Amino acid sequence: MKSALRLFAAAASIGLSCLSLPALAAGDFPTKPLEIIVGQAAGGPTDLLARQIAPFMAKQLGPNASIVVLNQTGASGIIATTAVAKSKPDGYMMTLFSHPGLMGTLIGQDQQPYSMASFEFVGVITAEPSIIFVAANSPFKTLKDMIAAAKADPGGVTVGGAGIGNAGHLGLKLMERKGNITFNYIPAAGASETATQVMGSHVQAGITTVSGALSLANSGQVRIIGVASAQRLASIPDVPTFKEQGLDMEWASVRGLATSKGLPDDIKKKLGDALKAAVADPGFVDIAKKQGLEISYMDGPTFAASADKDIDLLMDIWKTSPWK
Amino acid sequence: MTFIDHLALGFAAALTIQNLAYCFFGCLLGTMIGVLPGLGPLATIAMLLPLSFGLDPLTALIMLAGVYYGAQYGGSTTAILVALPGETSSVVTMLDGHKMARQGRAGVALATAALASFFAGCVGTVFLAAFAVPLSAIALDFGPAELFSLMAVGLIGASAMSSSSIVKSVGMIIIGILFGLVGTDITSGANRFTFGITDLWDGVDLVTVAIGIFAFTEVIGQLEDIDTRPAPQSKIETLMPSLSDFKRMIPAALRGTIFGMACGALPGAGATIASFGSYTLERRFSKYRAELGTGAIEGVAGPEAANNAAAQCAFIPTLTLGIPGSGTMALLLGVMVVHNIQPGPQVISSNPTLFWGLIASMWIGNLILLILNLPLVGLWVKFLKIPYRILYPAILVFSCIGVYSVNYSIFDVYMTIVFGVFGYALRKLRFEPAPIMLGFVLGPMMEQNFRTAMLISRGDFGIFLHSPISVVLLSLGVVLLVVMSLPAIRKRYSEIVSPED
Repeated sequence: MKSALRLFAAAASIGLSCLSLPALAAGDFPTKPLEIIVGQAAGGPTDLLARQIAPFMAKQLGPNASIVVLNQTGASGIIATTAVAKSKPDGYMMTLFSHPGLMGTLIGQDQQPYSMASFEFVGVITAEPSIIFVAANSPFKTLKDMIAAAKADPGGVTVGGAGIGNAGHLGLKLMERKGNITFNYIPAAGASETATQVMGSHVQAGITTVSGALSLANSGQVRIIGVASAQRLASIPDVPTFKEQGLDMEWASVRGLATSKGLPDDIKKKLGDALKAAVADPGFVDIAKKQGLEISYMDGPTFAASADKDIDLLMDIWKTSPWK
Repeated sequence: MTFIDHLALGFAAALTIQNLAYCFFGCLLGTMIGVLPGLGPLATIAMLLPLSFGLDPLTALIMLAGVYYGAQYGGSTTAILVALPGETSSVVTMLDGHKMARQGRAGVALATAALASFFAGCVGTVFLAAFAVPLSAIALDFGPAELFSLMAVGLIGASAMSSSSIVKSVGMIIIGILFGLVGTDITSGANRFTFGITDLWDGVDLVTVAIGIFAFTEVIGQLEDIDTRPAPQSKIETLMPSLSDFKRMIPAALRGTIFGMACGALPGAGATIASFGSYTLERRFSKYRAELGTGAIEGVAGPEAANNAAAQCAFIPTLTLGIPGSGTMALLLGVMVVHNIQPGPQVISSNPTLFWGLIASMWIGNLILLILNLPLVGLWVKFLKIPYRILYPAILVFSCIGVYSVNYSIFDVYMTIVFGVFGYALRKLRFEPAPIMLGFVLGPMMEQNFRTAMLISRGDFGIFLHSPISVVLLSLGVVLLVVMSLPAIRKRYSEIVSPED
């Protein structure tokens, strides 16, 4: 207990010294450890990505640079995101955001603690296309089978996904609009709970990202019947896209780093360049590939423009069929 | 290959110097973080993750698994000594364990916790080795409807947990459920009982309730009679359990182990539910059930065995289905995936060295933990000699650090204080607070499974009667209810359970 006390004292003093150091010019940036605040619990996909990219990005920022990952869970990540949106724009505090959940979880809420304009986007790391998966013994062999079943019995096909207002749920909403169909969406506490329900045939299909179902598909326990990307993916070459199966849409869960608006241009460039190089680092590429993550670098402004379009689309869907 | 050949293969893989060293390191670290409130295995394993990527996969898993079950051992230490539950699953151990400590039997309680954990860990590992694959197939049959029925039976059975009247304990369960309802409703995304406070959107954290109602309340309560009570325990009797202690401990540990294994194998159940359930079992079936709540050794042996058995068996769905039952398991799954190991039914045949090596390391780890913990008992007990003016502020400080470290949230610290005051009020009104935790953990899970089942069936209650598992469980619940509400039986029951009323 005594040694633990010392540990805490040491940790606290490091924390305090970080606060008291003055911010210097960009040439010296960074002069203290950077923080990536993750709004989700340790061990989830967002958290893992933050921990995996952090060492590679730190390597780019200089020999003494370090990046600390902190989990500040609460309010579906909104507390952490708000903290970053309102932080001093010096580049030391970033968040690993997940689009469209970033704004999607705020749709229909009374409180709107931040908007897209609150952030300076450093860049995108991964864009994971949504996929539909079914149990290995499911009668649905293709996405067409599933859509036909939903047309025959509107609202009768159960599709599981993680939560409300996240990529899976919103992707399914878009599928309903594009295919002019209705599903029975079954929200679960997380992706693994959805996988359990699909494998036990308690729900007929699930919507998640490639990394959420790849290992289950490789071991033959589930079958992926469609992917919402522009082309087929290298990790699942036999799975046809939504477009090939007559549903004209692309949808992905996009993850990247953001900091608060008002960042000086030179620091903005330094962070953006570091992230770009880290994403291309063979060490990172190797880790990402094993997990089925789809690396897709995009610079901050390009992302912000494309994300705005998605959000307009979602607001439009919300107007015609709100989910709360 | 036979079972013995497999085990030989596993031990050969686990007994290298490197793996033993990492196993020891993991267990030691796990025990330390288990002792600290708040800081749990999840955060620790997340921090160790980058280190583990550089290790051989078996070594990495052995180390991280050591942290995980080491925490189950460590969590009971402060619960017994100073009523500060280090892990949520040790709240139950505290009920009788701390009473034992107050009676000068702290050493016996600590040794019992260590021995029961060791026993359950060993049995749980055999069970995991032998039945992992067939069991995981059964676990998949538990969908939302079946889980709802299971939890309903659990809540009904548990209303007999407290040593006060049934009405009071049902009241406490309901208060627990109400606290559990705060936050974002998963089924609709709407906020409930959050009063415009963003910090409440994810609900009340389990750690704030547990530490507030138990640790803080204990400190406030002790301050009240600080002048009238004798100096800190000067008499500390034998450290090791006597022969008669062993005789009472063994049946409880057996029941706890079996129940804990069942909980561990189901994704989503876990160690906390296992320890609460085991205590309920003791209340019903122990020969000494009348003594529970007053410092009975069964109240330590059963729940400790259950939470450790559950911790071991939680590996079943993770390894054989690739489905993590908890955040900690999700991290271990991530380690496997990064090392190109495909969890699933074929993991045993495709990676035999890894699977059996991990199993063998669990045995070794449990032994290391026993060797680590038994000699420490003497040292821990000395904590009780610390004067209260130092001990109590220290408990409060460590609790606050622990609570803060979970979410880096000062709001959680305030919440803990509120729960501390609330717990003190309950104590003054002679309510037993333990059932609150049960309602708090089970209530929201039960509600979510109920609503998910209703969504799937599109509003048809028949879904609960379509599956045989659900029907059997619900019938059991009805039988329990009838038994409890029959006036004659209830009268006899309350005579047995609460002689003081």
